[in-house]
Amino acid sequence: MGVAAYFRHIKEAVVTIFDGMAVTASHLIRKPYTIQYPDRIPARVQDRLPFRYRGILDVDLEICTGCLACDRACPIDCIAMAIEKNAQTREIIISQFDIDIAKCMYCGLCSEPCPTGAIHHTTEFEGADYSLESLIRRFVVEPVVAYKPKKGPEPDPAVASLLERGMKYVDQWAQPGSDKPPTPKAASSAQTATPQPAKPAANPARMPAKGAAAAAPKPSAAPARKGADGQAVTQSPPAEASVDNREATGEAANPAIDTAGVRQRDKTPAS
Amino acid sequence: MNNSLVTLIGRAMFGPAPLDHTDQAAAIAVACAVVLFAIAVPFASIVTWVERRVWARIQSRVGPNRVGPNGFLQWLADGVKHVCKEDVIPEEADAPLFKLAPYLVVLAFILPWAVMPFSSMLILADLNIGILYMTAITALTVVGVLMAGWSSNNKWSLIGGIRSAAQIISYEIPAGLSIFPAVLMTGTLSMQGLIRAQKWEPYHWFIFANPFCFVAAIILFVSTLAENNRTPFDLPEAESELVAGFATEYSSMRYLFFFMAEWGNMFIAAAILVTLYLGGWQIPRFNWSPALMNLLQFICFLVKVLVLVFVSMWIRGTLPRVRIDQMMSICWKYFVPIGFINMIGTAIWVAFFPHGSRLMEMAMFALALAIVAAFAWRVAYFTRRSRMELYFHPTI
Repeated sequence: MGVAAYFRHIKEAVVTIFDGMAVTASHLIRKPYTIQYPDRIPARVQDRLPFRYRGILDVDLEICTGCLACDRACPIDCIAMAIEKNAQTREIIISQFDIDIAKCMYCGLCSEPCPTGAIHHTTEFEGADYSLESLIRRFVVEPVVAYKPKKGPEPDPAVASLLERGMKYVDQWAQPGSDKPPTPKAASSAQTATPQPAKPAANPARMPAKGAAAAAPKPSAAPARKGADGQAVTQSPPAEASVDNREATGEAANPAIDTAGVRQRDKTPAS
Repeated sequence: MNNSLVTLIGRAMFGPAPLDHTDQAAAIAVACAVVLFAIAVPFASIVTWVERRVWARIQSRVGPNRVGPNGFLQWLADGVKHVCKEDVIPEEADAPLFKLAPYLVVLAFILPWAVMPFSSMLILADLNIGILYMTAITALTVVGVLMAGWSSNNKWSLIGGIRSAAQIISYEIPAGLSIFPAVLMTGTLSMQGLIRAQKWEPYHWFIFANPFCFVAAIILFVSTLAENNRTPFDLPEAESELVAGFATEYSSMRYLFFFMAEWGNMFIAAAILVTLYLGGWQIPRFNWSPALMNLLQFICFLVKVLVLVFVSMWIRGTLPRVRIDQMMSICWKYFVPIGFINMIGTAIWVAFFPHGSRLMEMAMFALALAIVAAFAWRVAYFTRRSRMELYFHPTI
């Protein structure tokens, strides 16, 4: 090592350390990047997520029809449901509705066939807990009578708001890629898919699916469906069939299909 | 030397009892005890929190800010956590040495406080070989570290201990050579004597006395970094190579002792540099009561030391670890020869200018200001180029 190299090393060390210290000093006065989750953020993350975010499942038991479609759709059996049917009053009594959040993989297949949007994903995603047992959400405290769609609009305002939310959820599910309110374009695509003129969200009578099917002046597709329902009593096609059907007919939320699904499921537990 | 506690106690025991001095001696002893308990031990703990916050800001993070106001009680939480942990002693370890080692390291951290010149009166023992005592005692760390490395019976620990021994002993030489210029200019080894030879004005500090002193102060600072196993010289505890070096097998409070000593030694290293080259506790003279003057001197000393401690944290946030051969080459090829040049140069300087040269002092002070200005310009350049939102508040 020559003398020149010796002094060059010293010079390089001094200059580079000088510059390096300047770089870190400039970082010292910058605003940190850190977002201090969860308590020092301007708004809760849950409130800023889209409506269709697939978070932890929740069930609005007030509008659950007890059709068991979610139970059947779940690919990993994390939903445990038990229902009984009262032969006289033809009421369905839900005695158990447990969802094992620890098992749930947030696929959304349970909320897809739900006729009323009772089972739905919330935007909540913080599920940490101290025991595995407490991650099983038990929605039924004591057996309740399942919701039965009314003829005409829902009289109970509390239930009506739940139902409105649920149907909005289901409708958005049926229109992939739109978490915005339905636009005329969406309505026109719905028209091309099915011949019915009714715009899904615009028709308030449609909200209770089964009631709407019975009460509202149905387009030509509805009677055909009803005929199919009559056969369904004997044939009892699987619920997946109706799901596939909906997917096949496109994104339009066809109330008739929902009706068919509800009716089929009404029969299944009894048989 | 009437103010020295040792002198007073010595007279009280062996000479005619100086009754008028016993009150003063007791007062100084109490003040020193307060300073030790209020500064030495908490400093080593609290500085961990400060250091983590400083690194965090350097890396555009936030750092610990949850325990207490702005995370201030983080050190207490860490301490309690360590005390509550199991104290594991490996079966194959040499138990007596293993247990003894942390105490030796802590001893090397506690003993230098005896000659720490906090103010003109606040010093436990103004030994006439103060700076020599300081250097000798801080080198005691190597015994503890080597003992820990050997007794752990673990290859990582042993390599860490050996590295530490090599490093501390090597860097004692440039550190010692860098102490000489200040000693040559004052002709005393006493800490108070070294400070009294300087004045409160920055250009009368020894660092600006001549170019050799300027370089010597920088070498002393870097060498003390190396002696305290601070980054970029933290080879003995290089996580990526040696797990935790000599502290690998330690747990619980014994582990904490090593790190308390390491962080506490930052204060001591900074205090040595402040005493020798940065004017110590010197403040302008006022006709105020001695107690108030001593308090102001103490604050002055503390501020200077804390600034240097901050620089040492800042270096740790900036520079990567050097390789072992680079560390040795920095010491033996660069610092030792330059240290000798500094010593001889200062000796010649003192022969020619026994009372110092006002012109050179001013020139060196101007040079230092120019360096600081250039640095500020550089920082402004990097800040501007990044186009980032600035945030000057120390807490977030």
